[in-house]
Amino acid sequence: MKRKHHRPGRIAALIIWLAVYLGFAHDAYAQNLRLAYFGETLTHYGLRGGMEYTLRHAEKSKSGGRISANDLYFGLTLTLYRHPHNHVGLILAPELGWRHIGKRGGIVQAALSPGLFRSFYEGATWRSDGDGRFERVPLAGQWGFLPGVSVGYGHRLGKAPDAPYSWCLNLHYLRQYPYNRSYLHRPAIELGIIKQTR
Amino acid sequence: MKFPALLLLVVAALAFLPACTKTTPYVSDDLRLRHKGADMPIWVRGNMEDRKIVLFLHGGPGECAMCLREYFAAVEEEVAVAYWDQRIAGSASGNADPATLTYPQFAEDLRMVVLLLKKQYPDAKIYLLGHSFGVEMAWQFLTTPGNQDLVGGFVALNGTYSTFDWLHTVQQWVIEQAQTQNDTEALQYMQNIQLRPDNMASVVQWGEWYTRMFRLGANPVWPSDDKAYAFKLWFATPHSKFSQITNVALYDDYYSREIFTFNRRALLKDVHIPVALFWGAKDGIMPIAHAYETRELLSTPTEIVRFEQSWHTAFYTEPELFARELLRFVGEH
Repeated sequence: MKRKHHRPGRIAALIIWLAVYLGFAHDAYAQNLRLAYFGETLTHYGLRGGMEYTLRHAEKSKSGGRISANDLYFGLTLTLYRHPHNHVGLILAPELGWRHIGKRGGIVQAALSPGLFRSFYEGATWRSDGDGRFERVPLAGQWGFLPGVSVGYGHRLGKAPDAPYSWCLNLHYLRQYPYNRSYLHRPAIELGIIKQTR
Repeated sequence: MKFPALLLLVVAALAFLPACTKTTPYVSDDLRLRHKGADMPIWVRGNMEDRKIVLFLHGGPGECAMCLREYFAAVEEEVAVAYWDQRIAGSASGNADPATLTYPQFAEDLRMVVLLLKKQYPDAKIYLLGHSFGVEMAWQFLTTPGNQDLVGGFVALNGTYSTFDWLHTVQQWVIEQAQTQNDTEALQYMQNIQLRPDNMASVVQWGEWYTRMFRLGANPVWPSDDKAYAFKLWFATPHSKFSQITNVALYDDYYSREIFTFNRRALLKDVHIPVALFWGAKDGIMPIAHAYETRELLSTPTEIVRFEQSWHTAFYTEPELFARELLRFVGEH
C-alpha cells in the first residue's frame, strides 16, 4: 500500500500553534490566558487556548484580610481536537462567563458560548456524480454552529493571593447545528491552566 | 515563544498527524463518500492479499458498521472488510434529509460505495454481507438492473426481501411461541391482527409487536450487553456513539411509510450471483422459516447456513463459526 500524507495534519499544526499562542504566548491585551486539554467525549483528544477580558470585577473582604471575587468576563477560545480515524475538529468560540474566586483560592465558574465549528474528515473524501465518476473533495468536512454551556471548578496554584496560575476543570455541553437536518450532542471536558496576566 | 510551549506544540502536532498506511497486505484506509447530502464513512480494514473485500451492510436501519468491527477480527485476518456507515446512520455526517431514507436511495448509495471501492481497489472482488436491514438494502440493490454483476456474491444474515412476508412470518412465530410459552395475551393480540399487504401501515404498531416478540425471547442477546464492548464504542473507536444516537432517531417517516413499500419478492428469481443465507436458528425478529421462504424464491443455487446457538446476530453469538463460514463462502466464490 502507498504511504500517504494528509493535509489535515499540516492544518492541525497551524491551529495548534494558534491555540498555544492564544493560550500562553499572547498576553499583551488579555487579563487571563488559558491553555487546556480539551477532550470531546473525554477521549477525542485536543487542545484549547484562549484569552479572557474582565468586564466586571467585584471583591468582598473576608475575615483575616482575605478577599473573594466575582468576575464577569468575555473570552475567546480556539480548540482543536481529534477523533482518530474519523475527523479533526476546530472550534472558535467566544464566551461570556462568570467566575467566583473564593477566599482560599477555590474557583467556580460557568459560561455560555456561541461557537463556530469546522470538521476535517480523516482520509480521502470522494464526491459522486451519480454515474460512477468520483471527484476528490479537498479539505472535506462540515461547518456548524456550536453553541454550548459549561460549568467548571478549579483552584489557585500556590498560597499567595496574587499567585498567577490556577488549574481549572470545565465540563461542556455543546450542540452542533446542523447535523442531518437535526443537531448533534457534543459533550466535552476541558482541563488546564489559567494564567492571570494583570 | 518559550521552550515549554514550543515542546508542547511539537508533541501535539505529532499527535494530530493521522497515521500513515503500512506497506503490508493489511490495509487500514479511511474513505468517505459524499452523496446527496450525506457524508458516509467507509473504513477498509484487513488482509488484501487475495484482493477480496467483504462490504458489510449494517442493520437498523440507522445502526452502524464500524461499531461491530471487533466481531470480524478473524475475517480481517484473511480478507479485507469494508465497514460502511449508511446515510443518516452510525457515524455518517453531513446534512442529509431524512426524506432520502428510501429503498431506491439506499440502493443507489450502495452502488456508489461499490463503485468507489472498485475505483480504490481496481482488481479486488467485492462481496456483500448484509445483516437484517442490510439484507433489504442488498436485495434492493441486486434486483435493480445493472448492479448484481458488480459484486462476487451475497451473504444474507437474518434479513428479508419483503416487509409483508417478514411480518407474516413474525406473526406466525409469535403465535407459535405464545402457545408454547402459554402467553395468552400475546397469542390473542397477534391472532386479532388481520395482516394484508394493503393494511400494514395501519395494523402494525411497532412498539406493540416488538414488546411481545422480545417477551417471547425473539433476541435476548445484543453486543451492547457486553460492558467492555460498550465502553470501547463510546470512547475508543472511530465510531461516534452520539452521531448514532442522533441518526437513529431520524427514521420516523421511514417506519411509518417507507418500510411498507419494500417488496422485492417477484424479482429474486433474477438474481444469478452466488447467495448464502446465514441464519440464527433461534431468531424471533427474523425467524428461520423466512430463510427457507427466501430460498424458494431464488433461482440461483443457494445454501442455508444455520447457526443453531444464535438469534439475530450470529457474528456476535457464534463468531468463530460465523467467520469460518463467511471465509468459506468468499473462498469458494
